[in-house]
Amino acid sequence: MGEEHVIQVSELTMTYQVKENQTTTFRDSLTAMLHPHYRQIPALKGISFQVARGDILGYVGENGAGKSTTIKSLLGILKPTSGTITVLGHDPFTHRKENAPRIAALMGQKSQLWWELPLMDSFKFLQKMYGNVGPTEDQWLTTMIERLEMTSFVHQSVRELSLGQRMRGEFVATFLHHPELVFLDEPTLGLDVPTRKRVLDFLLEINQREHTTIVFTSHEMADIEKVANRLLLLNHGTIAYRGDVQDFVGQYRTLRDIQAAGHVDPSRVLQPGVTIFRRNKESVEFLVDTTKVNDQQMLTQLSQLPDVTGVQFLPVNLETILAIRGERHD
Amino acid sequence: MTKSLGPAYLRAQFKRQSYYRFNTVMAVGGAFLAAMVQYFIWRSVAHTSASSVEQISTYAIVATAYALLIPTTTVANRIGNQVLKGTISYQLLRPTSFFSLNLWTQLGTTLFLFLTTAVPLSIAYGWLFHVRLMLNSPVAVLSVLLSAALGYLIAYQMGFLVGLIAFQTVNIGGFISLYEGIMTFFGGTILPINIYPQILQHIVAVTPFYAIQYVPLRGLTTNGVRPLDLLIQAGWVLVLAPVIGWFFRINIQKIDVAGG
Repeated sequence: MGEEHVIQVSELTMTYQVKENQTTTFRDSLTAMLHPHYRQIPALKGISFQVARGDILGYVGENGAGKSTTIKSLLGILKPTSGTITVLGHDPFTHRKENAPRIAALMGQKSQLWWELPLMDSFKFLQKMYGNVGPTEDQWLTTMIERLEMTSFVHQSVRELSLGQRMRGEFVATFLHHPELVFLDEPTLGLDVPTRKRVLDFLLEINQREHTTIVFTSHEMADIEKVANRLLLLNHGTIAYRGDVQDFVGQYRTLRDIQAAGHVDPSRVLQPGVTIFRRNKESVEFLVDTTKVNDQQMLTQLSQLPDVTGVQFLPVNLETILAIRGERHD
Repeated sequence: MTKSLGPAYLRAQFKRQSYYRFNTVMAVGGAFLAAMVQYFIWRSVAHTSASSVEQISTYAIVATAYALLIPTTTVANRIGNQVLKGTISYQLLRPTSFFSLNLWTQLGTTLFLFLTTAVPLSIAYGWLFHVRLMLNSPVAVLSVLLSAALGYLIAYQMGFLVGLIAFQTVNIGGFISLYEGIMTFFGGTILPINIYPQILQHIVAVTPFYAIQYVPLRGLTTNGVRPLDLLIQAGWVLVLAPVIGWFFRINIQKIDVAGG
């Protein structure tokens, strides 16, 4: 306890072996059955990073970048091909039981609740499992239930709940035993806007009050930007950025996302420093490099177009930046 | 349905089945063993006296209720499903032994089945089929209870071992089929093993399958379980414990956790 870095990863590599056979005909299927071929897929290519106690790390990347592979390795349920990992001072793979009371995970696509039983039964069961019984723990459970507005359905069986209700239940189950380190893999999946806000506010509160370290993976960049202070960007198994979220966003401060509503003919606006970022049904968004074209020039040009009904400056946020990088293949 | 859609479904399912090719091999092995049992059963029936037939039929009838309580397949399937769905991740993250966690879960299932199926069935058997158990003393009763407990534990250990295979293969349907075939042949699931030829009886007696069901059931029909058989059962529990620990350590290194 008391280590400065809760997670330390050095040269982590993970290579999967997958079956690969052409199976377009019956003969191919039989051949694949008797003589399967395998190929190696490098999911992680020697990545290194650290997570300090109390940080909320936003771990982002495209589908198939290697995020879940990293999380599974940090949890100690997937043995990496090579490299070293230390979680809470231990190798997570060989010390899974030692780490278990101190860590938690929420994997959005999998449930840790008892499907046929009332939600409250799952909570009580988990309290017993972690030895967190007593009035104080019950009060903590009650606080979380009220905070996430679950009182109306906490005695219903899990299988009867909506996805949003179940996800709130998963949150409570995750934080029941006061873990020091929490892995959240797509935790806002299926949540409506008010519930998402409630959950994220709750996360921030726990982090500030209990100094819980959180590793947060999500495709909802607005969530990452709201709660995370550190960012780890994974791109095809390698780290493309590691550092502060705001520093990363700040690197793109010279860009503008300008939306022109109406029937816009982009060819009348395109020039060095101006590209089409996104076509929407009733507008076009232009990405403007202000080192080449300043805001006022762009505004003037767009306003002079006869079919443009409105011009708006949109925030260049994390989602926009990652979309830009995706198109540039950065 | 258009002309090409049916064959397309057929091809797709064939390809799905061929993904788990080892299961196919295991299923064939299991069916073969079950067929061998049938062969010995009917050969034995032709050469068996009336009193022996009564003992055999009592065993066979009671076996149908007892088999419902054997946990092997349920445990293996539970672990296999957890691996298939990826929820095995949560099980491995708990501060409890994976073995114990599954054992207690299985005991809950067994208790439910005992109360809701085995007990009513046993009462029905006594009433409808006039099944009478040959237990004439408290020692006999205790010996059978202890034997049943040991047999249960061995069955759980075997199911756990089969379930661990899922860590690598994901689908263990074929292994379960093979196991059930082996249990039918070596475990006396349907009929007592004493109908087999002597040499087969000697071979079967040194397997853990023999200790799971045949020993306690024979005790029910022959006034208790012999101390030597109880020792053999206890021995299997002790032998399988380190095997499980070793097999878990091997397979956890190769586990294939589904989903991203």
